[in-house]
Amino acid sequence: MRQIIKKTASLIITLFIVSLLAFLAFQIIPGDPTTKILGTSASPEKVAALRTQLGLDRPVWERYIDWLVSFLKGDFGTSYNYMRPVRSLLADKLPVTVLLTVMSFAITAAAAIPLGIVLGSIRNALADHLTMILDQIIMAVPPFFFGIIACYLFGIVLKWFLPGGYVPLSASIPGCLSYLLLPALSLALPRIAMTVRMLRGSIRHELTQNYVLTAQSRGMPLRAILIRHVMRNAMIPVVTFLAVSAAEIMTGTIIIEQVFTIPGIGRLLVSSIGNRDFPVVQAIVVILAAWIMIVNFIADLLNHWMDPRMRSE
Amino acid sequence: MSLLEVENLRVHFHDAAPDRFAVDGVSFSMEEGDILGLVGESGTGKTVTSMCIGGLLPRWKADTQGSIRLDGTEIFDCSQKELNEILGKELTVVFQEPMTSFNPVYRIGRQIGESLYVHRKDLSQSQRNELILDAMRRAGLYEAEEISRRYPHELSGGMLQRAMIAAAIVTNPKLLIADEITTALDVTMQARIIDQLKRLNRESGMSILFISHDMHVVNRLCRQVIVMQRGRIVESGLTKEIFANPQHEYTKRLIAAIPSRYSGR
Repeated sequence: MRQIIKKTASLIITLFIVSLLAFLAFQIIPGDPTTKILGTSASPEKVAALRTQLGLDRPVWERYIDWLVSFLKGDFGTSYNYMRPVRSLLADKLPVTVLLTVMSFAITAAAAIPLGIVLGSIRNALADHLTMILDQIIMAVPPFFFGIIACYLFGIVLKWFLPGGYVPLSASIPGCLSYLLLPALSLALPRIAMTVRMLRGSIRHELTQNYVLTAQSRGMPLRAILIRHVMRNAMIPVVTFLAVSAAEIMTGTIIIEQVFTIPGIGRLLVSSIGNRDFPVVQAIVVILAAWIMIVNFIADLLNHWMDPRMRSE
Repeated sequence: MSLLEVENLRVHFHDAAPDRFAVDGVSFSMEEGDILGLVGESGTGKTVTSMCIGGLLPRWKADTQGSIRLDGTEIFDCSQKELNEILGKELTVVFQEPMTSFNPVYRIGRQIGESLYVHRKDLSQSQRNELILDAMRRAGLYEAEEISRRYPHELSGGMLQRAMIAAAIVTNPKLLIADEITTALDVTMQARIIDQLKRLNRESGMSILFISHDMHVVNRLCRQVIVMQRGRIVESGLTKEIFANPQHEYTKRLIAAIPSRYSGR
């Protein structure tokens, strides 16, 4: 319990630091939102007036504190580009990205765990060798490449779906889910390959442990030993790795949303950086950081529950 | 019929030189109720012999020849399924490393009851718990209930070794193989474990094959002893006689290796 409180506190402090860094980064990189709004030929008076209106003439620290206070109140500011509250922008785009992330993560876990168990427990050297070569290849290919291939093959050649024809969740739930399936799969494939490799190695390592011999000497069949003894131990490092995967999948949506033209926060982030739309970028960066920390926090909790040695530290 | 008959056992590991046998023509037998010591330095084939008796040596690792009959059943003719029926029920093994022989993520009590889980599915959970606590007390863990709820890393080496013995006697097997179980322990703990084994032998008639490199411990526990060197038996007989009058040079050296305060010189 005390560890949970300590972890939560460090989580909040980290989020605070991340938001400060994101804020400062925008002070350093060149470019000004007024240029985007007014165009490059605007008169200096007009630019100055807009800067005052947006509050950009005030010192950095003052603006940061203002932002932080209103952020804590739940007000994420107003987008310079869309002239809409960031909150309502995110309310439109975040569910799509979350859905894509959840689908992709579910595919990763559902495919990698059974495959890892099978590959970890077989003793056929040839089959193992071949699957590991395939695994290495899939692991090395980036998701956007799978995405492009999928768009070409299933969209243009086979015409199973219309690339760029995103179906909103509100229009048709099955339509939206089936459109998101290919991008989710593209994001999942390399993660599946990595997780399979890790779980396979973890199971093999655990099978050489003395407690396996103990279980054998009790007359327990290998299958039961795998389920009853090996799996929990083998999953401990894999859980941490899956948390990293969940984080990487969400950040991976930034690129895959471009490939499949999905209107999620990834696309919003890319266009907002281009437009120097600070409030939007700031909010998305904090959301991504919070997500990464939350999944790691959940992994820590799971590990504590799975491994009693961690509890007594 | 003897409880255990080993005849001309030969073991060859696949990765060893063609003429190098880990166990090279070992024959011995054990009667019911015996405590037999198997001594020799490490690497003489004691553990390999015991692994063969339990059918625990994987076939992809080594070739075996000869015959091992436990209570009349030829171990080498058994299928894995038939072996699993014997292991944990008729024959149990306690290994040298108590720290790693337990699964780190489960409570001690559950792991002591593992053989019951495998072989006595007819028992209810509470009946199994009774047997587990009883086995723990017989193995010298008197605060059984408290200890059964702990995890392996929360117990000392000596306690874990007694927990391992409890796990090995919970089904009242005919034969207990104890492989270097006192090696990792201090002298006081060694003495307590030896007393515990003697009592188990006396009270429930359990036969014990005691493997050790420590002549002193063997002398205190075993009526009969077999001395092994490089995969072969070099001397065997009553412990008392061998101790008093060792014939083989190797046995003499093993006895001489005991610190003088034990041998009484």
